[in-house]
Amino acid sequence: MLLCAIVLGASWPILAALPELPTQVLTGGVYVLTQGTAGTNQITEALAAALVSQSWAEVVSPEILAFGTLRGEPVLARGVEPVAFAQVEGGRWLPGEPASDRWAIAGTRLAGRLGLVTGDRVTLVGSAIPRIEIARIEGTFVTDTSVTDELLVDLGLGRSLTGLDRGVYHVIRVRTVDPQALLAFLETSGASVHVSGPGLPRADINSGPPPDPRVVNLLFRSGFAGLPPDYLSLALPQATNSVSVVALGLMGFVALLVAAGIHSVQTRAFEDHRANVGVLRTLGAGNGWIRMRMLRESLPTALGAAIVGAGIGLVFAALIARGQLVLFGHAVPVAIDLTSFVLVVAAILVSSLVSALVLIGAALRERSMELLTERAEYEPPQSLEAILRG
Amino acid sequence: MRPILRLATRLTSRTRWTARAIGFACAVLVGSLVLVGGLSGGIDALLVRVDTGPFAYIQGRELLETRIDPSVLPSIPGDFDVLRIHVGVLEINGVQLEVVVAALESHRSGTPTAEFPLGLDDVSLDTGLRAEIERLSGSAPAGQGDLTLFGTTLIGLPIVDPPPSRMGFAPTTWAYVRPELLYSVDLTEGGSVQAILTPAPLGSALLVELGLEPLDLLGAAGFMKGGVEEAAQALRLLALVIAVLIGLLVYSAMSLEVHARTAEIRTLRSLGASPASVAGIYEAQALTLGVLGAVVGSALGIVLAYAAVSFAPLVGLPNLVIPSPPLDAVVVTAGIALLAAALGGIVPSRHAALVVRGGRGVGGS
Repeated sequence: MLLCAIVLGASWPILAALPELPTQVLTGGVYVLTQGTAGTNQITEALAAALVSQSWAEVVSPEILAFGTLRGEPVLARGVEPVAFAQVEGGRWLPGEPASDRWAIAGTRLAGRLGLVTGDRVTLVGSAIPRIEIARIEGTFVTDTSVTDELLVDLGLGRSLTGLDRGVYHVIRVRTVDPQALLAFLETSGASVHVSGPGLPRADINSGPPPDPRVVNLLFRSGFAGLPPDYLSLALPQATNSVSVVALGLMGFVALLVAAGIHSVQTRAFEDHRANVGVLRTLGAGNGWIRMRMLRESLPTALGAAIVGAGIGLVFAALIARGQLVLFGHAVPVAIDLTSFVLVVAAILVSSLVSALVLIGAALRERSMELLTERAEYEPPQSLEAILRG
Repeated sequence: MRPILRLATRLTSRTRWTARAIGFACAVLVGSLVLVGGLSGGIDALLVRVDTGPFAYIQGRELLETRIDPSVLPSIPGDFDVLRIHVGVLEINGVQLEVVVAALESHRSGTPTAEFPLGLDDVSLDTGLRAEIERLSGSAPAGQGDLTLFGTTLIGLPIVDPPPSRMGFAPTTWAYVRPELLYSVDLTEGGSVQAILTPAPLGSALLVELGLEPLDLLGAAGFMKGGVEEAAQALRLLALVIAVLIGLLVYSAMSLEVHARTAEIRTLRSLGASPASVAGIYEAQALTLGVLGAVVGSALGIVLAYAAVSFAPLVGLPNLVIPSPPLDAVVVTAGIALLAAALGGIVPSRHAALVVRGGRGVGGS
């Protein structure tokens, strides 16, 4: 039971953290504008400039996302405008804000993971087009967001890696305390965009909802050329949903595995105490009293194992997370907190108590004499006697 | 031997639940491996539908650090291109800037040729690099410039027009020279090859022989493949946890089995069974549990994984998973289950071997 609690404590927090990853990478806790269904190239320099001039827009950060590899590892290269990006992320550039035209700056965790130091020259590959670019690491970007796992590049390099036209971006991120003003402004601007962010699942402005065919089907049918203009906003909920389904499925699998393990252990342990149930019933104990006694006897063991196991499991989860459990280039943001601990303990307790009730229920359906009689193990033809007799 | 085998294959209520639990653990592992393998298969199926550029091969993980010995080039089959690429410093129009210097050599029917630039000392500046020089200096690039490569400065090199054609993956900011210029500066560094570009993928045996690694020029492809590889690494942790779980389940079940069958073990010993034979019975029983769990669990895991993939579109879930016959997953799971069961059964079977005939042994019953 202790082992089951350890398994649950080590796996659940990690799996629960997975669904947050895609949204965290794209939005980062602010409002994000992506291309809508009407027209093409709606996320432009002009739109960014118009947003900057609005009083309710605290920070406006236009960005280009280039999914690629660096030294064999999957890495997101993000084309950014340094001042706005540092403000929207709340991070800082080391040794200072990049001044040159062509630069690449590694998030601190990425730099640590891939051993990148200032002055290193690295090979970047194109995202949606075949491309090789050589870039020099000019420094690091310090932040506690998922950007710490990314490579930040100038917008020109971002365009070269993605094949995006001049003056066009993938996303514009906006920090504001007045999202309604943002939506109202976008309505009047005529730009066809999708907006999502804190408390705003997705708003389609001058745009229909993302088309029904899924990104994957479109890719299979006609490759990248078949993608709709708003593929990024289409892909985000699908990626989030997919990761959620996989994570929740694995959580279910682990929970069933743990429940099966607990029931297996308790079944074997209960075999030795079946006769006690018969004795208690012979002495006049009622079924309800026996059930309660079974639960009272199971509870301390289950609670002890659950608390110790969940504690050890969460320590394992924290160690795994600190050892950088990286998926699709980003460390999984594992939350080790009291809620996780309580959930794991509760799951173990419920499994153990349900198992105990099932076992005692089955025993109570038998007659007392059957319980008291040493139950002869069903011996298949391979029993010792049969085998020795040939 | 036959009685031992028959005794070892007994299933009791004590061991039946253990076999089921092992089966479920194996189902989780096989199912996860099938899904991740299927995702990898789906990505491969997708990549044949998009233009990923030529197949590029380097040594290690970094193009600029690759040093492929040119003597291995004759062993590359068919036509291919060779890319030499270094970072140098160009001084022109009174400005100094760091540039990527590339030399492209085509190998057609075993004959290497470099089409541009024509002159041995020529430096061809591509359009983007020319625009950058013009922006920095305020005038079009001069006819001569100095190029520093491998710590050696070559003075007064002729600056010529952009290349007439460009590799699809090359940006417009590179400078091009002939391979001979690189050899002349440094035979070792300049002669080494940084990438081999082929129109079709090279065989894995040849890659191993030459120590080459593929470099995905289409980053989204590499990103997805790398992401799946990271997920597969996480699954290795799951495999380890499941191995420990199976080992402990088997240990627990076999300890109880030995405890409950002490009288039977004494009888066997009285009839002349050696301690090794008795230990063999219980070790084989542990292995039987592992085999049963692996077989049933593998089947269950495959069915569950295929069902998840098949029914996902019906509930509107994206489906990039194309599972293939999961032979690898089954072999890995069976190996883990058997190894864990064998290790988990060692201590109980040793206890069984120590039960003495007619005396009080393990369990004392």
